[in-house]
Amino acid sequence: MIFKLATALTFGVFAVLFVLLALWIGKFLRPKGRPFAEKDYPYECAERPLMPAWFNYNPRFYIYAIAFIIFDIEVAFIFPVAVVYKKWLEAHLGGLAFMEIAIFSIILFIGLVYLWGKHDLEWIRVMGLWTSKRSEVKSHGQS
Amino acid sequence: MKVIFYVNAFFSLVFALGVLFGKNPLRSALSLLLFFISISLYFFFAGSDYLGFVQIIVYAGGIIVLIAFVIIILGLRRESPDFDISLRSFVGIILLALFALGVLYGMGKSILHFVPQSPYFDTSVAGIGDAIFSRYLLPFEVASILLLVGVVLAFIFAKKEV
Amino acid sequence: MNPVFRDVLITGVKIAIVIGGMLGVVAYLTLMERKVVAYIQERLGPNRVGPWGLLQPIADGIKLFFKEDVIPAHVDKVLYVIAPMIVMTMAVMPFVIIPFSKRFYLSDINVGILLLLAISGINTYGVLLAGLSSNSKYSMIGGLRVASQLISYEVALALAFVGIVLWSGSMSLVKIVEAQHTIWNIVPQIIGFIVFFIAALAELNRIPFDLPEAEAELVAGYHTEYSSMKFALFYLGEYANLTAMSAIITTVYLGGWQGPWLPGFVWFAIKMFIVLFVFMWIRWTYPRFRFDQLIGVGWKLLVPLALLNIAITAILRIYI
Repeated sequence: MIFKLATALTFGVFAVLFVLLALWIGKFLRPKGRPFAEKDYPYECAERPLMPAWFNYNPRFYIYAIAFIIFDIEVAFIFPVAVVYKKWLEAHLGGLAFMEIAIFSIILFIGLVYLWGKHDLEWIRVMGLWTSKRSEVKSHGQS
Repeated sequence: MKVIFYVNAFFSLVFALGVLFGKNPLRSALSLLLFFISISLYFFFAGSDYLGFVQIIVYAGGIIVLIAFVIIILGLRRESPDFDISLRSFVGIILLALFALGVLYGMGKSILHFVPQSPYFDTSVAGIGDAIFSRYLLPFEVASILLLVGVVLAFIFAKKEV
Repeated sequence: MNPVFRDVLITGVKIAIVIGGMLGVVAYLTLMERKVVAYIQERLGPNRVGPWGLLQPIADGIKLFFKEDVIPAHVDKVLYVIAPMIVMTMAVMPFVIIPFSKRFYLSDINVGILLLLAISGINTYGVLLAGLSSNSKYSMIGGLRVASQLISYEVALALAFVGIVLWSGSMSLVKIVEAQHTIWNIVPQIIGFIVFFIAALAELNRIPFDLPEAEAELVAGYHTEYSSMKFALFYLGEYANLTAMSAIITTVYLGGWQGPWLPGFVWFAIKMFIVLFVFMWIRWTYPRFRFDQLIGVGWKLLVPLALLNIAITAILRIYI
């Protein structure tokens, strides 16, 4: 097993080396120096940018990250069960195995239904909650 | 083998220190990502490929995205604050030190005295699956309820805070 | 010869073949995509450089090497340089476990599917960091969009994989292909396949899920500020991801190298190029989603469908 993983690691190292090589070769070919000072500005359709882009962004993205982590852990839990499921069926313990997976999945599905019911999965509604309750925002709704 | 292990240990330390001393929060997050990946290599060395990949998927793939989003929400340009030893942080440091001592004590004890005798020491995927189906059936279902509670609470808190 | 040394040598040669072959396929995919779109739009496509434009990818590559490499003054330099490297490396990585034929594969990791998920998890940081380090508003929004899109659809992707693992009883791609000897996974796993295919489109940022680089609103999304080889790495990474995803779909759902008469490698290539063609076909057929629709499809359609697929698979497995 460790040899197989080492192969994967070696492959990764080779991939990184290739990427570095691609970046390095160009150094000898491409023009040096900066013809225009304007090239240092961020691209904003030929307008001078007003302020840096690193300001506060909408926290909606955070909600999805939380949901992602929870379901990620669920998937991590369920993989070993899925692997041995076939083996347990052949050992005539299928009923137990099936119940186990079913209960686990249903409990997590309840979590999804909860988020769904609370409108946490909806982009526009959530935006309406955080900013002002403008009518145009609410009227957009989920089509 | 041993050489790779120690090289990896060195890199783990470097990345961990990078998290602590990085001025830019995003670079610290990247350091943390690399740190988690180097941690996963220890699981591979211990022969548990499953746990190694779960470490990458959940910690490197999930938690860091959350951290990156928090950094973005707070604004990227904020530098790490200077240390001020107020009473509160002093108490925090003492608690942290006690916790670290406890962990170290437990680890030292386990290394010295505890030899894993569990019948389910088979840490391959199939081994873990068998263990979940037989001995740890109840904890497995409890874990799902725990995750459900986690979803609900995380969302309640997230909506209250932001 | 020392057997360990021989093993290492063989592995090294295999790695060289896989990386070289993949780069060749990726380079010519750019030509294939342009030709496909040209014929869909009743044009001829590139046809000046070499016969049928066959030398076009080489000309493009040489051109990109000669381009000025601008690192704008406003970026976070370290992250800005690392981001395209992450994208390209992680795009190549899946090929390490894909069985190209019965005997030709680099490494049969017995938790291969977890490796794929780990790779796609880390791949998120490439684009996210590109967007964040560029300090440009377009890049920033593109980076945020791509990160939330990737994590939303990764759940569906992983749950579709669970159906496969339930059916095949293994996470090793080699064993999954062998288990498809009698019937391809696409038949018992048809719901899973649909979920996987849609989620794959989203993971690849392709139309109808190409909001992170929607050119009408975000210029080029997360790689707006990139030029020269760094841009080329994003561009190649995109096509390498596309190839990798087609190879994964072929392996997991379409029986991999299995097939009558022809050698396994040929079957693998045929299936992979059919999947690639479908990806391109979809790109030039559908319009783009709105962002709220995108999030809605991921969480409210694909995740429940994938859970349903798991339930159906578990029941089917009892009776078959």
